[in-house]
Amino acid sequence: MVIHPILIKLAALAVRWKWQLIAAALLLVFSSLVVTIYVSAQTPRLTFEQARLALSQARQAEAGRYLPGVLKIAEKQWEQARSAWQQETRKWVFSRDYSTARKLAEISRDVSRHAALSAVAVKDSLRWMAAAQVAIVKQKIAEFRSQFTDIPIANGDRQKFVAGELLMMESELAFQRHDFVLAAARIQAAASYVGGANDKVISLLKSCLAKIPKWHRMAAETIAWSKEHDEPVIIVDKMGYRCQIYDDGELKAEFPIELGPNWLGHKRKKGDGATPEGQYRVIKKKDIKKSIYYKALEIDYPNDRDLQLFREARNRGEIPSSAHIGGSIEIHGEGGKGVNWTSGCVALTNKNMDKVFDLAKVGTPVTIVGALDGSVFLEKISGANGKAANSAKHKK
Amino acid sequence: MRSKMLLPLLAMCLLALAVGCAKVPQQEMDAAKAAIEAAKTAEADRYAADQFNAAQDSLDAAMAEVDQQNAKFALTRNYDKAAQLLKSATDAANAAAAAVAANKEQVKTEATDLLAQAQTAVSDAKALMAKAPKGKEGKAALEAISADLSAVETSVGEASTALTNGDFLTARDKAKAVLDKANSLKDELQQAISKKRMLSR
Repeated sequence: MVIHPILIKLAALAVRWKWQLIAAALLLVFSSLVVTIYVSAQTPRLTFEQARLALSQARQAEAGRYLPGVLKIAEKQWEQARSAWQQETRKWVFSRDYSTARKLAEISRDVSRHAALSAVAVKDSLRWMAAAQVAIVKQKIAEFRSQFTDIPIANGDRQKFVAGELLMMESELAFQRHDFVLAAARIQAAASYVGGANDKVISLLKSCLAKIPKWHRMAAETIAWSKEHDEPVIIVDKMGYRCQIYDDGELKAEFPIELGPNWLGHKRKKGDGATPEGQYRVIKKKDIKKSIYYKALEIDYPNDRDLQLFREARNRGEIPSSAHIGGSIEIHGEGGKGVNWTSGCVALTNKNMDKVFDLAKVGTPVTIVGALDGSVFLEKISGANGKAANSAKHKK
Repeated sequence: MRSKMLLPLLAMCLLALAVGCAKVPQQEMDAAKAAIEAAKTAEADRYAADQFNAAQDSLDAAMAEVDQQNAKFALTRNYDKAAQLLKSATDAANAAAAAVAANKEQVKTEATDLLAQAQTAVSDAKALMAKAPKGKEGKAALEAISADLSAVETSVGEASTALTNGDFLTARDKAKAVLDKANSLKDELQQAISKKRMLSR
């Protein structure tokens, strides 16, 4: 075997400097031990370990989901603490100062602990809030459907209501997989849609309620005319779904009726499916041969007041300029279908229509009002609000 | 004496530094960071939160260990533990990414199926509307159902958009809600049609 001459020389030197090498090695070991002990005493190892564990616990507590801003602060402090540590490490060992790194790690640790505790609280809070709101919205939906089945609702409002229903169902699905942030957001949107539709209908009912005194006056005037002239008159109560016959000021008969689908409120234009409100007279009697609805009493809609209201609404832009006011409003037969099916007319069963037809003549006053009993509106408003029905009644 | 000590000491230091200095596991660090970033991009924090958090914890522990070792005297540094932690972090991040892919695929499949069912239910409801009582007495009810179907169709569109955008959880929820609502409208229409048939007998 050939040994390199340089290696031979190094071996000879090592033998000559044997004791110096041993001393140098011992000195080196001692120095490294001193430095190691010194460094260990100075480094903020314990604080960093606490900060790291606190960050881990914050993440396990889903702080990233429920308190993302706070967790970000904790993570940022952690990175800054590490950066400060690394900066000190680059210095000469005896001039290192870890106080800044330690302080930053403490801040990170404390913020992480706060995030962990608060995330649990926020999660619980969202869970209960979402659960409570789902229950409330479900109840609102049920009340809306039960109270307003027969209330005409504009298509746009109805679509919003259904959109609210769908969001409520989506919220329940998010809740089932414990995504309470999404569940809460969806149920809030659902509550807004359902509540909006509910509020619009209640507003409509309240505006009708405000007209009760006027309607009572109209009915009273008609009944007074009946007494004064000893003649029959017809009063149609839309909310009460009844057609009343007065003669000589006395109630003689009352019959159930059916109306148009958009029956609540005054007729605004042709084709709106609304039954007009006002004081009219029979202008034509159509017997079986002349009516497609068994027998009919045509009234003088639109009268001057109707025309004025129509023009004003058109001027305000509430109805299109091309719209027509409509006409041919009748009290006729073929009723008894159980739904509001006419185009705005008042429908009775053929048997009841016979009685009304025989009593009425051309010129007979016909007064159509929204309601004579405001308690029905109050019940619907209270029912939609989930409260007990108000016992106060508006009597005619 | 001093000159006789200095040379051996210098020789000993050079030898120790050449042989004894441990190297920072830079490759492992880069790999772990890249794996976690990739998992985060894949929405591991949403679809595989537990595994993603474990990966992040391992990385933090590894980096703290690296910092601790860096602060020591060069000859006493040992990065074995840090390297082990970095490997754990990489493995956990890769596992999280794989779990995300599997979870997403499952949710996507469910969302696609539900959306197809919902679209069929809406089409069925529209077909039933054509058969529903046409007379004036049914018109108001049909108009109400038509308005409901319109809202349902809007939601179908939103579900489809969410599916296209990769938001599979939202798509699944919307499709399920639409399916349930469309089926209830179908039931309503079928009842109306049956009622009409009974009355006409």
